[in-house]
Amino acid sequence: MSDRYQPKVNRRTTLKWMASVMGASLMTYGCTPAVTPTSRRADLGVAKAISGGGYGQDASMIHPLVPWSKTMSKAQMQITARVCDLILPRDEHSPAASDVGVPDFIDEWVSAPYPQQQQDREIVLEGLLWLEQQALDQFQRSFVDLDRGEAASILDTIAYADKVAHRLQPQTRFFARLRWLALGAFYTTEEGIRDLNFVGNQPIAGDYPGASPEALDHINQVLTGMGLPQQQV
Amino acid sequence: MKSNYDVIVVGSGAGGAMSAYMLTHAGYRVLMLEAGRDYDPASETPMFQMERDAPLRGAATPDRPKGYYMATHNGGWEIEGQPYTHADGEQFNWFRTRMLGGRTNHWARWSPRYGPYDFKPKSRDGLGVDWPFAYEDIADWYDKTERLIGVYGRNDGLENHPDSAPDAIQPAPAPRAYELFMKAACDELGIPCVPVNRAVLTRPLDDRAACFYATHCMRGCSIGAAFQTTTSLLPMAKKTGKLNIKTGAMVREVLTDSSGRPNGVEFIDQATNTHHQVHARVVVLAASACETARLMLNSTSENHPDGLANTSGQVGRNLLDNPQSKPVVAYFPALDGRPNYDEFGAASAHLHIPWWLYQEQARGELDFQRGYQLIFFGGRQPPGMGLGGVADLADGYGRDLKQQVRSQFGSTMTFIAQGEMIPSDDCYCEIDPNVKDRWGIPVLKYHWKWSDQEQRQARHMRQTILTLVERLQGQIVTLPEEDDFLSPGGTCIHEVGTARMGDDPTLSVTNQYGQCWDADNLFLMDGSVFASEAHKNPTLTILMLAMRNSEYLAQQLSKGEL
Repeated sequence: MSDRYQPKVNRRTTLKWMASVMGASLMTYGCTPAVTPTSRRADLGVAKAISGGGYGQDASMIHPLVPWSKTMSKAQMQITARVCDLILPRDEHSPAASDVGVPDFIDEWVSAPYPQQQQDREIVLEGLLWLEQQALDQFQRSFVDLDRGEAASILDTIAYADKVAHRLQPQTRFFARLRWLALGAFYTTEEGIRDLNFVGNQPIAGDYPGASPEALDHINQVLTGMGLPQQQV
Repeated sequence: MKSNYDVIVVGSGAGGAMSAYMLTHAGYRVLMLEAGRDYDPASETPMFQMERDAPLRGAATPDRPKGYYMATHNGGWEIEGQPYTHADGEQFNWFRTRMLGGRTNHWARWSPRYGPYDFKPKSRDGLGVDWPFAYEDIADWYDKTERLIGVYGRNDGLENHPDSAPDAIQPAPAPRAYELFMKAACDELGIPCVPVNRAVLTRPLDDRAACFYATHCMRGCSIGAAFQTTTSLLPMAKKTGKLNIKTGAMVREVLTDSSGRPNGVEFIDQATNTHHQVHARVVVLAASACETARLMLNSTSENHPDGLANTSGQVGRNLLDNPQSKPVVAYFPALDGRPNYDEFGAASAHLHIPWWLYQEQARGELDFQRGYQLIFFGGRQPPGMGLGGVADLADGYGRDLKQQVRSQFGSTMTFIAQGEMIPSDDCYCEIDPNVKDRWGIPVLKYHWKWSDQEQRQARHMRQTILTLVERLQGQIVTLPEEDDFLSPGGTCIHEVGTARMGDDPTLSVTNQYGQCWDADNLFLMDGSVFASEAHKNPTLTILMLAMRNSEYLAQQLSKGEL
């Protein structure tokens, strides 16, 4: 894959970061020639330690800030971006997850100093490493360098609730959790909200009208099908 | 501090603000002491901030346990330096909001009236105690309260769910499609599904605008449509020139003279960490049920070795909360693809299911006493983490997943049941002799056990929800186990009852006016005085009692009785 994930930050940071990713990637995957697939251990680098406290109990609601630093390694971010884009690819309705900064949000989440997020951190970071190991074992390449079909052959073993092998249950929990995070991150963006065709939460004048005539017709058709009484607003 | 005050009011939430409003309008000088910080809804309410602008997309954290934007500053289940403790193996969750206006800034504004059965529960089923008055005695006060604070709703004439005077109630917002969908199942099953009464304006009132059907009420309401004391009773009371509010004032104890009669309070000014004493003819406690009990129990002296106004031994006892189910989430495929429209409405549910099996219960056909209400919400609400359960429902990945989310968004509903418990010797709070808060004030220790009564009621709650979901061909997304269906006590944030009113001074702390039997110039104006707690949200009744009892207090003052 040539289109590496770029965090949704300013250009200067991005350029600096790109340079270091290239180096890191070379070090991790390029330096040891002629390893056999089974002997090669996945290495995504180490996430930085959690730093900084929470936002406290009196944080401003008008100007919210995230006081903690992001902690995921560059290699972890690369895989996160790749998986998130497989979960939420670009289509005719909306862009891909990484186009709207979903991987940065995953990093924000797993770097937060709260119990739920710390629990998720372990699940996510271990899951990413497992994906990388599968890629190395099966295709002798990093997960980020797999083509879609190769990546899918790995994800298919953990992404569908009714098709999971018992031994892969921890990985399934990881994927479900990452998907849950990616969905929340994605559909709260402007693009995601537009994709859902959400209308509302805009001031209206006068009384709230309730179900629209079209929506009421629809509900009444549904109710007829269920043998339930018709409704009026 | 020199006493320029007739009355000291402790607390600025529903009860304290109503009391201050009534007393200042009756011409009395009031000092209000609020433990929390000052709060300005006009500049601090995140009306249109997006979830994506908040840390973690606004998800709940220990710092903001109801989500980033819920109007809670310096509050939550746990507050640094202000602990509380539990008996071994027991749990009670205590939500405090340390800011001007207290929990009225973020409450759901649900405002049902208690009905005739609710004030006479013992007469009806032999359990608990009756209140010292009947519904008919206070019905007018509900009307007066509703007119003052602004409540929308509908008169449906249901058993034990009293109607309001026609001019006391504003029109309720019309139901959304998914609510009518639920109502159809209720219609068939003989379950009432009716408009919720809420303290939200659909018509302007005083300086407050009517709801414009955007931004969630729990964030607070800078236009004043959703009732909170910081945009209504407090500014109105201040306009009289008779109210002085001191924030950051943590009251430590009620002071008494050599005869044991209350004559003021001692508080800690948090800004300077200094102790102050202030005196007045009357002290009103409205610090919230448990904080009020704590204050009384900590106000010990030679005359009051067991705490102030506690010769009955009932202070801290009879702690009640609405037994609340854990959330049940279901997906209704039949709702997929309904024509799009604005489903935001007044943010909260427009319809709900109030308790309806009164006659069945009277005939002994159910294995528990007292009722519950069913709350359901969902539809197309502004997306946040979890997408209303759609993210839990998700399967697979890729373009199919996106299509799945598009189609299921708004087709889920979350159910919460909220019941009535019987006062129990197992549920109370007391002073923990071993633990103090940051100011050296002894803290509360909680004791809590759900009884078989509540467990049996919970099974009925769960079955009703499952029946509705099944009839509407829904799919369960989240379903708590039958024996783990109730949240811990306190989770509903409806705690009341710690200094109940009654007719018998040996079994109650106050008379029917919230006036302490042991001290006629000490009044309780919060939920502490509840003798029972119906399945109905308590704040309207707290406001009603504070209004009625403050008028009584003002009359006593004018007669020179106090």
